[in-house]
Amino acid sequence: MDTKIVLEDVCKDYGNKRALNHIDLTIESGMFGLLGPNGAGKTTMMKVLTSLLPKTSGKITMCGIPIEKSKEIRSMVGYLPQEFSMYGTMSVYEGMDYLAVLSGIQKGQRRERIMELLKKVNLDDCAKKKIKALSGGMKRRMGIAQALIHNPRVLIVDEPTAGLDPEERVRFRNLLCEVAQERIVLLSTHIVGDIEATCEKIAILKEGNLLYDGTVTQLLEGAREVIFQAEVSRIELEKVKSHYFVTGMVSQGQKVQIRFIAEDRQWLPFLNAEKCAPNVEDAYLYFIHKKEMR
Amino acid sequence: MYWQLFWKECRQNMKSMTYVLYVCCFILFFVTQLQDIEGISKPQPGQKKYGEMLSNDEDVRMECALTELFYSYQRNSYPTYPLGFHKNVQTDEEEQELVKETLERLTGQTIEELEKERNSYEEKVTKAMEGKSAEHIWEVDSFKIMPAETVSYETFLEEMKKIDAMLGGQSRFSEQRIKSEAKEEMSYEQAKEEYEKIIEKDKVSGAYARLFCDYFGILLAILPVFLAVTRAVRDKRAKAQEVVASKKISSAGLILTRYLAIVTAAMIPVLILSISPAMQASYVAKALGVSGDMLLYGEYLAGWLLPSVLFSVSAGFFFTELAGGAFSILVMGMYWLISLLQSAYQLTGSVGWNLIPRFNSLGQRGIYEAIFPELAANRIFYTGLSILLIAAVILIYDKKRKGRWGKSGKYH
Repeated sequence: MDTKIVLEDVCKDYGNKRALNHIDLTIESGMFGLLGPNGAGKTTMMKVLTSLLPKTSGKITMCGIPIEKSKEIRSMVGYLPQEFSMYGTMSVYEGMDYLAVLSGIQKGQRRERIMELLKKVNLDDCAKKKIKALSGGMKRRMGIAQALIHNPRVLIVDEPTAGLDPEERVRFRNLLCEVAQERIVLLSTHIVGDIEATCEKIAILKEGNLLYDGTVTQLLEGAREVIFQAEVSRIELEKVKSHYFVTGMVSQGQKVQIRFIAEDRQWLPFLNAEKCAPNVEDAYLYFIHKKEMR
Repeated sequence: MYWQLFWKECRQNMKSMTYVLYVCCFILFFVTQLQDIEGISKPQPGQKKYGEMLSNDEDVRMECALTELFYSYQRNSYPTYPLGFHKNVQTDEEEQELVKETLERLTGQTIEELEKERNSYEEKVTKAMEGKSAEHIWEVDSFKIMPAETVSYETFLEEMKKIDAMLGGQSRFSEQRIKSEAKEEMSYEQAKEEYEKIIEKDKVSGAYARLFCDYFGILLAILPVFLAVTRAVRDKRAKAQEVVASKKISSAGLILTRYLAIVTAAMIPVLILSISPAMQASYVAKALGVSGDMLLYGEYLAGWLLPSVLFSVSAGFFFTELAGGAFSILVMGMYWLISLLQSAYQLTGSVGWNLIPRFNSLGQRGIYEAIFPELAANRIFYTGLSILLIAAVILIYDKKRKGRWGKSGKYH
């Protein structure tokens, strides 16, 4: 069976503003990360893929089904929106049950399925708890559970870890990896750490344009020659910042250990800078700011 | 799937604070307005009185209005009906003087003479009550103030217009009210005919049901709007719009199930509160030697009140989906007020295309038969309009759900 999402020359406009600009992308089974700064068009792409927004032009097929067939698309997609919530006065179980009915799950299967999913997201003890009493992390976990309620072939999660504490974030990433074994999981985020920990394949969006589409390894490879590190004084730091894009710094007394992107190398000898292996954040920032640096 | 969703929606609606307030309004209205319904009795030949019927006689209209004006003057309490609601107005000395002069001019008698006439009438009533039984009171002619022979109906209306304006308008002395409140005694034949219709065609139940529908129709033309708005904005307030929109269920299925759940929830207190007057009607029917028809009572509720609920809920959904909850309440509130005002002058038999058909009488089968075609057309019209509105809601929701509503296509 054709388990992939194919976008061909997809554009999406909001009035005069172009939110997605001629996107060509193929997303295959497993975890796929969609990375980009705020306003890059990630949420728009998610909504187009869940048929909550129409594309302006181009072609999209999901597991062989054209995106225009919204009923069929909704049957195969599980969606966790950026701001997931449900009726606060309902208990977790009631909320899940309501959404299960909307997903067309038959009465006989619902209870078993809901309890199985709540256990999977570690919320089985909270089944009777009111939704309004859940913490942010618990709510997101419930969000994942509801998105999986009809066992979708595609799971689309929009910024699921924003605002979560580190422990919740790790737990959430692990959960996504678990469910990605049987389906396409499209994870949108602007947090590089989420992608680094979970995705093999990624795409980077900026201002509606697709800047990168490939594996994390290829992304790192692309930035291999341009990431440097150096130890500079605080006075030198300002000069470095004016010439290069600094991706990280650690203070060490009067000195600062920095990592930066350097395509133009004329100043490097003065800094005693040495090339270093890029991490995903360095590589991501390189792709995002490549044009500006040139 | 839809059946299960229907029950979930019903439960959700009934747990809301809006619904609790909705039910409280009905109970309060029932307790204050429907507790003292007069009974129905068989007219007997030779009876002193057989009840009243509306009169088209100008003399009768003048008598009724002048008598009411005199009583109001004595109590310094004048009935008015702003927006259709009863309210007594008190006047200052100068205004009382104006009323006194008007009464004297129109009757050709001084106020002292009128008071003397009234005292004499009350003495007769007291004597009658001291007689063999209290029924003798009916043998006394009712107290009526007659207009002077020289006063024309037009002059009388002019004078009443001034009184009405002094009271702030929409009073008992406005031309419309003068007409709708002018009643005259029925003859035995008229009363018998009326009674037979109530027994044979209404089985008593119908007469009670019409009065119940009249009262509850007022509330059902507006209160269900609040239930509809509460449901329509619930997804948005809970930030559940997107997650609901992303599910498999069709837009038509979702909206129709929610719609029917609200209509059901809206009708439940009406059905429960109708049990008491329905049983009362059955007891009265039994006492009159016929079997009350509970089914007929149900038919009235379904045919008369259900279209009001269908319309107010669908309109509530429609305007909320179109422009938000506050707009919906504003539009429907205005429509309700206009509807209520339109029938404020004729409380029995006022239908037209009004959302609130009025029939504020127990019995009056003759009037009911005369207005029935109009009433049926009215109820079919509002049912049809409800279907159109809910179809429009489905269309709008589906477009919003697919991001195809509004200039930018941005809804979520």
